[in-house]
Amino acid sequence: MPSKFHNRLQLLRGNLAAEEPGARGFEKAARNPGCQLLQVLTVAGISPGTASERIFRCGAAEGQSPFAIGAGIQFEAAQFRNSGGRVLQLYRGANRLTMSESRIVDLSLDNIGAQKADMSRRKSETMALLKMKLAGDPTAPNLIIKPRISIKLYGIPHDLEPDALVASDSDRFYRVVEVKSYPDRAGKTCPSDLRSACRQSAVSVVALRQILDASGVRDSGAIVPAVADLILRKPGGYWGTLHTMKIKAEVHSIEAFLLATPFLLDTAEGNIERLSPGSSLGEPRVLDAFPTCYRDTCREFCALADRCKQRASSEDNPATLGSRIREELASIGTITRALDFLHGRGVPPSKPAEQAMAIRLKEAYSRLTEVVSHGL
Amino acid sequence: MGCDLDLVGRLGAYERGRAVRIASHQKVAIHPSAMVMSPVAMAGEDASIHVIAIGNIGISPAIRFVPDPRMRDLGDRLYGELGMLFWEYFLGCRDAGTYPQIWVSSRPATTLLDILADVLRSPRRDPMVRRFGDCLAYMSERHPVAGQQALMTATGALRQHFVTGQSPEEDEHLGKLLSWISPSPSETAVESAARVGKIPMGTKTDPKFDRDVLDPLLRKYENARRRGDTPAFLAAIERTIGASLESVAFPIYEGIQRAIRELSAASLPMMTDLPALEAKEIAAFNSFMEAIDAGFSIPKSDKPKVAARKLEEREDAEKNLRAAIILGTTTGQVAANAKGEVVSGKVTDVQVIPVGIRGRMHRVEMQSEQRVLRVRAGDRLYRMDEPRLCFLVTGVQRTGRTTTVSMRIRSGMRSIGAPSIGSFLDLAPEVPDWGNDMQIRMKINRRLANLPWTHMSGNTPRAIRKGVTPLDPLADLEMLR
Repeated sequence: MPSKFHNRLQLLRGNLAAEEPGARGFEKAARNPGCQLLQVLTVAGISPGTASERIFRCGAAEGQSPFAIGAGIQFEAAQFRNSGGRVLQLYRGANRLTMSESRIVDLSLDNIGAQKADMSRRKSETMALLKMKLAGDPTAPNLIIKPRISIKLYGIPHDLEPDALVASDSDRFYRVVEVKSYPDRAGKTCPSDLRSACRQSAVSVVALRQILDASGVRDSGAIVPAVADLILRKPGGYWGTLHTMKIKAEVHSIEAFLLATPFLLDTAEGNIERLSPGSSLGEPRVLDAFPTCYRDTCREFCALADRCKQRASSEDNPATLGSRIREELASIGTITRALDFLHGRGVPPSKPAEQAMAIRLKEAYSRLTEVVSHGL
Repeated sequence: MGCDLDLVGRLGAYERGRAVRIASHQKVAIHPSAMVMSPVAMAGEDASIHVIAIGNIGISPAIRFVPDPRMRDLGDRLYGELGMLFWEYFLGCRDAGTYPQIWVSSRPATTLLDILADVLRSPRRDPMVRRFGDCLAYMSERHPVAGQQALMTATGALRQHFVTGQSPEEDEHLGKLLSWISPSPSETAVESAARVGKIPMGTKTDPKFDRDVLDPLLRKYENARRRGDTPAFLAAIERTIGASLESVAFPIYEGIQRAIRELSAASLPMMTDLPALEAKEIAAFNSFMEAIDAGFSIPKSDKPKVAARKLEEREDAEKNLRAAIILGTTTGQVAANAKGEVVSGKVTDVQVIPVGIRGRMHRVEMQSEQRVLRVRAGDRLYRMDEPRLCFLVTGVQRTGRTTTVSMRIRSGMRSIGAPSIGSFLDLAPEVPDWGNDMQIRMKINRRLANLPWTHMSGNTPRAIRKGVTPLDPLADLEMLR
């Protein structure tokens, strides 16, 4: 039976079909808590790429290269080939699993299938295995490949597919494993790659906690701690490396996002009612009514970054000059005001913070014009 | 205040609609025989070069590519060719008594070279491929060292001299950065940056290009190979692949050339210590070549002592560069003065105090009106126009807007002499020391003559129990050594 929210979300979407956000969608929405636009789109089931291409008609700015997708698939396949042989090797090498802890269940598409009924079967089998582990069944698997779990938003389950779940016989419950073909360069590994992988894992951790809560288990946070395993790629080949990552902050941000979602739905409906009763999020001016919080890091994960930057620029927002300047000019508010202080024009500063910034800007300005041959 | 110059510069650039110069001196060397290159990797294959445009400053590039870098034999052929090219260049630099310099577009290119440096030095690879890896390893080792002149990014070099009216992250896109530095007359810098921002200027191709152009071509090539089609047919497909890849690599190469032209066109005087930085580069390069001649190469991971030495050398390089910028550039001095690191003021008193039978100590007092001053007793200060004269701060007293700094001359009295009363002094917190490599090595060797217990296998020292007073606390401390 569709939840009462189904209809509300359908009305919000208008003619647009619902898109599953997946772990990536959830983690992106939680990255920028100040951006109501991204959060509303996510909960309504509209991806930023669809908003950019079909609503704002800016052209799609999302999409991976087929080569990157292929490399990722090949790397994953190499890890899970022969019943997860390489993954087991990694865990044994890290003394996380012993030789006897080799019970593996493969729920991947290759094994089960990709039809809708197969997806349901994967989900039900995953739940059964999780219950086994929770009940302390000694025959519960140590490695579940491509389980299918769900995270609930407005009571509506959204399917997630972590790459694996792992647990030794002595572990109370499973830990999320994400396999990524990002090159492992130790301390030089790309921070944005790591960030993305950790955040995706955090979504699965929250989903597991929800499952435990729904099963009446107390203290799900202790049973599913905010930790995940990442398997990254050794450059130049298809061998993996295992890393355990603490993801407390990431899990917290996902949980905070989920807590805020009831208000988002009400806000979205309120905006539509106010602006254009009967319309939907499919109209640009409705989307423009939602506050955004442009940051230079938005470009990393959101297809609407360019549009938001234009909007921030038209709002005279110092965020267009970078995060550091946004923070420096927080007491002033706008770029125009900062320029007024720089040139000693316009309304004089009234608050102490403004006065201090005005002095600082004027001094810096006069020093800069002194030392470079052409002034500002 | 360096941050304030950047802040004010960005505001000004935003207002003017074009980049603002924030450097009074050129801080990077543009070596006349430098190589310029724009390597592009295949998406998902971070340790590959799909196409590379390579040449010298002001010269059109040679384009080298492999039809499919996922085929190891094809990739190695390209790396072998590049290995020969690089090695010839390195040998030429050694014979000329200079150092190699390579220009790439931005940070992702240095990352790609770093990854390749590790992967290509596998013992199973062809010797010339490994030699290419050695050359890249040298460049990648030098890159994090402050003030190095070996591996230059066009974005990094430009950003040391210009600020734009966009975020620093956007400045890492070479096309956007150049749009601000020399905007086209027919559109604003913002419009131009938005337009060119869609053109890849790093090391990856656009996903749409991959989907619509490259993927179909590579499938055609793969199928042709599998079918055993004629060499002529394969060559024709390869040419088509090459032409499409060239359209990616060439604009990046041109962007780097344009960046070098913009820097040269600014016609800034060289930073005073730039020759010293280049001399360091030559010394590092000679050391590398000697090691190669002796059959050694840069290890993939360092042992603890070597790592400690390299860390110390990097810290020293940072300190030297900081000091060089303060002493050798006007903007550096102004920024340091505003931060309170450079003390400027008037000498109000000089006293000569006898010490012992024949010794003398010179005490100097100066007063500064600087609003911000970061100086305290025990600090050493160096006279900026005569760095050999060193003062030791003995006291700092602030009264209203005036700060009185009491000092004694620590060194340089005989060669420079005490300042006269009424003269103005600018004192810097540090001066570069370009010849202390041997001292650093000796210091590290001395300190690490015995490896600390944290780096030794075996038993850790026993913990001291709480509440129990040790009979011999010094012995317990000694055990921790």
